[in-house]
Amino acid sequence: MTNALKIHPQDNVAVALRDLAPGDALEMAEGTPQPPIIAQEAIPFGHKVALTPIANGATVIKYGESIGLATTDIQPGEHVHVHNLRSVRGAAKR
Amino acid sequence: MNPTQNTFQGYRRQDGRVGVRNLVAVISSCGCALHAASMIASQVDGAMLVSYDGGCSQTEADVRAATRLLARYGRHPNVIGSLVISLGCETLNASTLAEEIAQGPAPTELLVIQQLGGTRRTVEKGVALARQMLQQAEGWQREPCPVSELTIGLECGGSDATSGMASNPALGAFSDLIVAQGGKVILSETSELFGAEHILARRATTPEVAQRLMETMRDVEVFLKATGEDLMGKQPTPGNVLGGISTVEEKALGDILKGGTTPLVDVLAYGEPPTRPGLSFMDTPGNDLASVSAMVAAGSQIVVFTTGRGNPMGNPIAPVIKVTGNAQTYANMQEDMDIDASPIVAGRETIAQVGERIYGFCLRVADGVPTAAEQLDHAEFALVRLGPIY
Repeated sequence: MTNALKIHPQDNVAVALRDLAPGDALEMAEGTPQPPIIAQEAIPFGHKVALTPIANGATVIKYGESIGLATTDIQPGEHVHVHNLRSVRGAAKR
Repeated sequence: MNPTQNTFQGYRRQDGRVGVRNLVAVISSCGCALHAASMIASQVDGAMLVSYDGGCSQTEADVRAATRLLARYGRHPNVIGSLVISLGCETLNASTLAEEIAQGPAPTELLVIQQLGGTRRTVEKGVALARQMLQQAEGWQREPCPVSELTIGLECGGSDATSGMASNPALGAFSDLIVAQGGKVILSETSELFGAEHILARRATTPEVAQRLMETMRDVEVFLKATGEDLMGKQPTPGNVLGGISTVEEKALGDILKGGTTPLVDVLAYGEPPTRPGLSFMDTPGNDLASVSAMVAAGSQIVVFTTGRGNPMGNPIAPVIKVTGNAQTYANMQEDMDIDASPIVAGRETIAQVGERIYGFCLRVADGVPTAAEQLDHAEFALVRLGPIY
């Protein structure tokens, strides 16, 4: 059952197509990644999960483009969101 | 559904351009002429109302811009004739508008309500003229035309979480297919590009194109700041973050991916026709009516519109194709939707496959198959107005 979507071939993150639980193996329409990628934590629907190791300071790629920089080393299967990804263009003034 | 299909059945006009419909445009040159124009269009199958409601008590710049844009409706390749319905005392010079339309290949007639003796006489004459124009157009034959003759407007509205993951990426795949055939696609909605302009600028074919894009963004930001609006200050919103959007780049990319991944060849003013094959960006508001109306003025024969929540709007002279990535919206509003992109979210179809489906359907629409919005007589129209009405 497909549970994640890699939007562009160059992306290093995928989008969860349903709520993923720790231990779930990612399955995509293109096939099951080899070696398997296992969700390391809960990934809610619509949120991002790392497909490759992403080093601190490296570019996070979705839609084939940069959506910002990693603020820590990220492992495959980890949740990628505001806690480990920052904008290059600027953050909201809150 | 064959992505290598590279022709469609279109109408080759005298100026060499290609139309996909044979329509009469009934253009009101001011709000006071709108009712008579609408009565004409409602009585003739194939006559479409271009419902301009300005034309008076507006800045000169707005009136000039409206004249230029309305004239492009009259000269549009989907239009085989047009009627300009004028009151007679409006600021917008209806004779100038009719003359500008007459520079194109299709006939045009100016009907002035005050000179013709009122609403009924204007409507009677307009109905007769529109029928005559359509009768003369019956001789037009469709012929095979290359996809490179197509200009496609790209729009998204009523977006939801499925827009960024399904319908917009699929529309991007479609855009890449059109560009690969030498066609033109127009990306628009300047306010939605904020946060990703540096990414699109990197894809510009020349430094001048990149610079024009950045200047366009800066001008809109300054213009809006003067009205008290701060486009960048609150992005992404707390709701976006809850839904999984982490940065403003990611949010903007979810919108602009409609344009696919090919180089940015030009930056166009509001309603300006593209001249270069490939992906152009047009400076329009995010407002769906004002944006679609401008892309059609620029010569788009067809518009493809993604909508998660379900927007039914159309355009008077160009078919508008609706794509939704939300299965519930497709089920709920099926009569308004053309393409179901939700199998991407269900994991049953890839983005590339849905992009190919949109491509196949778009060429059938170019052949003459009506869209959902056409079957329901949607003909929404609006132009940007920068100055006050006084």
